[in-house]
Amino acid sequence: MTRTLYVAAIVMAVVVVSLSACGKPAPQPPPTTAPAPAAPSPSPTAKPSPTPLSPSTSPLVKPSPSSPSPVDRQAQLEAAAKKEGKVVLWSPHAKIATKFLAKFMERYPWLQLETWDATGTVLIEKLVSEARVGRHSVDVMAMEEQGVRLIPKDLLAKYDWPSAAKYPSEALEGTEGLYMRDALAFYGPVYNTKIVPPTKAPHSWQDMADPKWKGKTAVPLDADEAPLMLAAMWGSNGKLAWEESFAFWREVSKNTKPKTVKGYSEPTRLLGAGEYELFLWDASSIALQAQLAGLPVAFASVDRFPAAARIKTILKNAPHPNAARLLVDYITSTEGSRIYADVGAYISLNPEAAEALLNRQMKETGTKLYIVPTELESMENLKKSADFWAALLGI
Amino acid sequence: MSTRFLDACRALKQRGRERCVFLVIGLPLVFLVVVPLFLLVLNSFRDIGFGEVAVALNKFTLDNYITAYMNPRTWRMLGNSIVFAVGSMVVAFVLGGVMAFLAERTDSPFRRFTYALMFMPLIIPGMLQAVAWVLLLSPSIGLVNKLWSAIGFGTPLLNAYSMPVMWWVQGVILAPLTFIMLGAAFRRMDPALEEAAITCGAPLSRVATQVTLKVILPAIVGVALLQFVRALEALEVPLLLGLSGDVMVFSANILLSITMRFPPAYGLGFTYSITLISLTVFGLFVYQRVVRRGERYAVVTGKGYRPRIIKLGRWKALAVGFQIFFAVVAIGLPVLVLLWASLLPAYQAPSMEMLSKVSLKNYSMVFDRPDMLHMLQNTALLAGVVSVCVMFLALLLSWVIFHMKIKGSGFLDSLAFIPYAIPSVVTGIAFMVLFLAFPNPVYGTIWILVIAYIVVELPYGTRFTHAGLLQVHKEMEEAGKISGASFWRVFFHVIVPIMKPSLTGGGLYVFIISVKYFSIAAILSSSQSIVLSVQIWQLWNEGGLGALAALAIIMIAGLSVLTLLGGVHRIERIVG
Repeated sequence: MTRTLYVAAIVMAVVVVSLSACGKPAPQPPPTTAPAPAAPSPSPTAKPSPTPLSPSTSPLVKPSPSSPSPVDRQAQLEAAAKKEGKVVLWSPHAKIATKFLAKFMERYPWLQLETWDATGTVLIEKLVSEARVGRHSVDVMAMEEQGVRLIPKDLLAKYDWPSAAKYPSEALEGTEGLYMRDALAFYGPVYNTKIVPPTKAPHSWQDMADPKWKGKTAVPLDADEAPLMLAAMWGSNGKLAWEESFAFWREVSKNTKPKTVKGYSEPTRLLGAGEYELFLWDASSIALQAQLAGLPVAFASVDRFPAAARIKTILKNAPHPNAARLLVDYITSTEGSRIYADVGAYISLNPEAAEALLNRQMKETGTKLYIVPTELESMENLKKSADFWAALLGI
Repeated sequence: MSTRFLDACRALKQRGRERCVFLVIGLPLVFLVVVPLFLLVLNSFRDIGFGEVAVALNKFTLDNYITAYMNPRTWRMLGNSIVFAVGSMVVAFVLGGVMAFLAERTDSPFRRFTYALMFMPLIIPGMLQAVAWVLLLSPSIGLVNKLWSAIGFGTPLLNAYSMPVMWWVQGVILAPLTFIMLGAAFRRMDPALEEAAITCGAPLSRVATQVTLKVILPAIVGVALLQFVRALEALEVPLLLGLSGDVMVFSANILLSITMRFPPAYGLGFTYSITLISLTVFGLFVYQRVVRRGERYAVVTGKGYRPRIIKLGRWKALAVGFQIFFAVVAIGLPVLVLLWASLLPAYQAPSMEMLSKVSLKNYSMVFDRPDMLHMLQNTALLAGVVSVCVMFLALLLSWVIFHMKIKGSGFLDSLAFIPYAIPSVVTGIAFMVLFLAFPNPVYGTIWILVIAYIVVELPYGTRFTHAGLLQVHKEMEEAGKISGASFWRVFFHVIVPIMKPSLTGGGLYVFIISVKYFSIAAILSSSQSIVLSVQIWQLWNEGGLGALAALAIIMIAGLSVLTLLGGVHRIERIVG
């Protein structure tokens, strides 16, 4: 009987190998480098530039040769989307998205919005694995730019992004129309304002390495991009200042003995509760949401913060391509981008959404950002950064 | 001659049916366990990225093994993992075992409430329990430590980020499993053996160690194995308490490699997983050695039995003290902290200033979800079907292993247990790859979750049914067979009724953990098949501690109301 089971196991394995071989060939891995977009300015004063329209590759309402007016285009899109009846959005913050998309749902009550929420890694793994076997269930993805660059290009649809005309030209630069940058989030040290008076808070990155913080700091385990972002910010002419960044983190680790924590949300809440005095690396969206919830936390006033773009993309084989376009058009519109920035606590790149909460706060405090050029976030650099981080935290 | 021929035919037919049952269980199990395991082992030798976990013979490398096992930190991590798992197991044994003994075998006054009490750690999400203990025992903000220093002590009483506190928290999380499994074993004990020992003049301590403990040995070893592996795989406590205390364990590192690194290091994560599986297989080997002569533990025979209730006498105060200690310290303190957190927009230590900020906003956030009904329906369907299927399959499997004794059944037992040791996130990815490999109507629906959960939770079921069936003598079913009952008639009318305590206890446990299982659902569910565990994660992301604490308080309140309305008798009856 045991032999029967061993034979069965071998047969099953052979069947699975054969079935896998019958699947579609795997797509090419994403390129490790991409054309460098110039750092888009967070300033809403940037001059909008006309964006060339790319031909659509999806079976959907196509711009007619005579270029229909925006009103006609919208009407055609709505009619086609109505037939599709549904749009599927995947994002690490999809449930939050349903809040800022309430207005969208009011405007298009005949459209059913389906969201799926998981970590960026799980979303990309599921998307790529499904696509390998010709299964396509998602229309739109919203995530960090770092994430979309790990998705094979042939899974993304080219789009003309009509709203981009209002944005700085950097919103589309180097993206080949495959995605659009519409918001920013930045990273840096956050402190508890109840325990640490603003005068005693760090005023430079180097202040974070002061031994006075010993035993009072925390650092997220999953911030493995931190060494890369600082190396990019402190580098020049496209060169990364790896040694400077590594030396900085080593000194911080040696002098302050930070607690290693998981993620950003809960440590930020614990920072507000007084568990630590200084959280060495937090995301702006998390810290601002904590502030809005009444927690005594604030970003330290360092000279510059490294920032990364948030993007929206339509999938090439989206099952509801017209509804997908309707959705991204809304999110990147003036109304949509303003609500998106406020609910998600992001900096909107839409100059017409300058009244968004974080945009206003940035202007008032004079916070300066450094947007990490995407070509520096290559697979090789990400791995180097992650390896250093793992070694630093003793993993 | 003809009678002998007919008997031989009958025996052949019976043997054929048994083999048929063996194959009906064995073949799907081989498919659903061997394939993910094969994927894991194969891909641990590959250098892969997104969408590349597959049965493919390229990108081979030994780098993952070199990176993982040439690093001295890995060995420290292995030591941490074993120390953490053993310590947690001991705490869970003491808490759950004593509570089970008091509830099942003694006249302790609060025994009826024990059932409801023991289910509370089970329904509170693990991450919430871990955070609650940070808020209680953190050296900086822990309420217990603050109280400790307020009464004049300089140094904190306990440090939340230390190994002993990790043992305690994980032990409390695991205690319900000990309680349910050992409770069922205590209930089935035949008093004749103990009474014989007492009649021979053996003191109670000797009766306990030489008779009682030995009779329930399979249950003890089964629980120990489950808890050891569960603690090895546990994530919440190592991530929330261990990381900050510089206690890195395998499970946390696997999660880090697979889901937190960008891009993910699948190969490395899979390589670490193989260590966990090896430890589990070793544990299983020990278990099989202990129970290989199953008939030694058979106490349920055709003669009827009723466990003797031990009168505690002067020990009653100590027993009550232990129950109160468990209720107040293990359950009461974290629940109080969660209650406070659920009333605030963001957690702050209790103060007059914070009293003014108290509101029910977090509770409305829990209820104010458009897909709540759909999600609850999905969760009930998933947990219900999984618990019934797991217990049915587990009983069949135990029967095949211990009563039919077909050659190769030990292999089947090992096979059924291995998924328990594979980290959930790895299982999720393996099932996704497996069900994408061929056309099927299951992928993307709730049914892929049902299949994955059955495979992953079958080890829980088998530990319950193994322990139960080992206490049932074969004479019961032999009597049925001799009376001319068919195979299935014996199964449903003899075995199932005798095994009811194990089946219901195990079923209830599987139901609750199916509701809480997150990692697999995160990968395999879709917007159409959203379940409560995914919703819990979303609440954690959106509303954080407050919203999730509100959900836990609602669940605890529901259980308490059920208890007050007399439901405790029902819970007791279901479990027992």
